[in-house]
Amino acid sequence: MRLFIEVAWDSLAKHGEELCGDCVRVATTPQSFIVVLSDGLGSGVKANIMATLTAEIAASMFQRGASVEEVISTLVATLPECSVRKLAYATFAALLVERGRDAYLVEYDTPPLILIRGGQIWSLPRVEREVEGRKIHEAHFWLQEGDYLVMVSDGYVHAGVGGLYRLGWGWQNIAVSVRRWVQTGGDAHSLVRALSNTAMRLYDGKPGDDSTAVAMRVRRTVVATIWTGPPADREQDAQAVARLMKSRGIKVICGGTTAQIAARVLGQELKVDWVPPSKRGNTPSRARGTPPTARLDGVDLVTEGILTLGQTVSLLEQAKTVHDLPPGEDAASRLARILLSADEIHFLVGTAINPNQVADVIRGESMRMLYVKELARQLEQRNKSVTLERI
Amino acid sequence: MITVTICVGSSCSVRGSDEFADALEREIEKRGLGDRIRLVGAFCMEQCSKGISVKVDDQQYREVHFLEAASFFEREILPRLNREESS
Ligand code: FES
Repeated sequence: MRLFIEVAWDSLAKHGEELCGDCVRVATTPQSFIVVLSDGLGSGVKANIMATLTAEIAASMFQRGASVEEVISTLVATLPECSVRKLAYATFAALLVERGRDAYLVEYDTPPLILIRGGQIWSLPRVEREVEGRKIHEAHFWLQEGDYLVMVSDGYVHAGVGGLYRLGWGWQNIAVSVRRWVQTGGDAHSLVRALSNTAMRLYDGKPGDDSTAVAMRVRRTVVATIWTGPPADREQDAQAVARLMKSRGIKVICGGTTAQIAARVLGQELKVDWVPPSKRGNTPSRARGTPPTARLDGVDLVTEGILTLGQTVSLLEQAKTVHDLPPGEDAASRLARILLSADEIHFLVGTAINPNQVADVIRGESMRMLYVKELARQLEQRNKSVTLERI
Repeated sequence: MITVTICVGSSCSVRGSDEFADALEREIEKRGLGDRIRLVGAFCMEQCSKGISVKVDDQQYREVHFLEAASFFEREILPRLNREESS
């Protein structure tokens, strides 16, 4: 079973500042996951630039396999030091995970990472050491399914100073809040939103410091396979159906002809979701002009092709995460929901040219392929791993 | 048993496939033929044109107008039923 680390973050800029002096960088490859949270000293433009450089340098160096020594010496050599306080201009915390499990944490002057495991606040065995005269804390550990991890910047620890909490929200209280919240079983986006709302409330709407939280949830990888379009060679029909049916995770068919091929090969009848108006009772009917869906046993979603794909592209243009999608049971909303919920998406794109749609071929690519490519691009932007195979 | 397949794809639904189905059903009920005719919906038949795409068993019709359900029934479905009966 492969694990996936869901990640979301949110920054609140200090009241009166346009830019936030914290910065988060996430770098993922199919094999590794890296997140860096950097907090620039002070606030405003200078802090923002320092934090951005630090996070950027650390994330890209770690991604290329650099050690923490190399990262820190590069940072020391590149970034100026505050002459008055003899402090580095930015602090940082980085979490590196290999193959979804093997985690390495390094913290340089940041609040410790919060780990909630099995409903408990878990204290990680950290080792302190000095690199280039700077004290860092490191931990090696294994991630488990169901773990929640949270990184916060100083602004969180101080939230509410002098108000609700005399000394600020404090690490321990934040950890307890996260532990309580985790019982809802929500995802990383909802967790970060909850944290951010609380920090904003504690600051009475006017953050006294840049405040950033990064939330992570470790869960099973969600895989989806989308087959759209008949294979170029009819002889491949059965094999294409077998590929889809044997794939792990969510299975989707987009395309009328494609669905008919699948029905034929599977020996099933394609049942289009439609009941004559008089038999509908009070189930709401589809809005006119929205493409229908159908049913095949063993397939999670069956839709028509081009129009549904086109509508799904527009939905993704307007929604960053699955939470931003409008509620709807129409074909495109359901497809968009699947795509945004999955971590790994495989597109199997048939390249047979439909004689009725020759006009749809634009510069050698079918409309279908153009839409699929656009979907793939959109999904990759969201850090999902996407493959596209022509059949 | 005769199967009438009505396209409920986007183009046909805009052109009134629901209304057409509704009217067709009334014709069927009026004559008490509910157990001899089955109405089902279908994906786009790739015949999107000026009207609704309809299939009666394997016979394909295109450009059917949503207001002509009664006459479509008389013209295309009834004869088929009679033929079925006599065979
Ligand atoms: S929508 Fe009915 S034939 Fe295309």
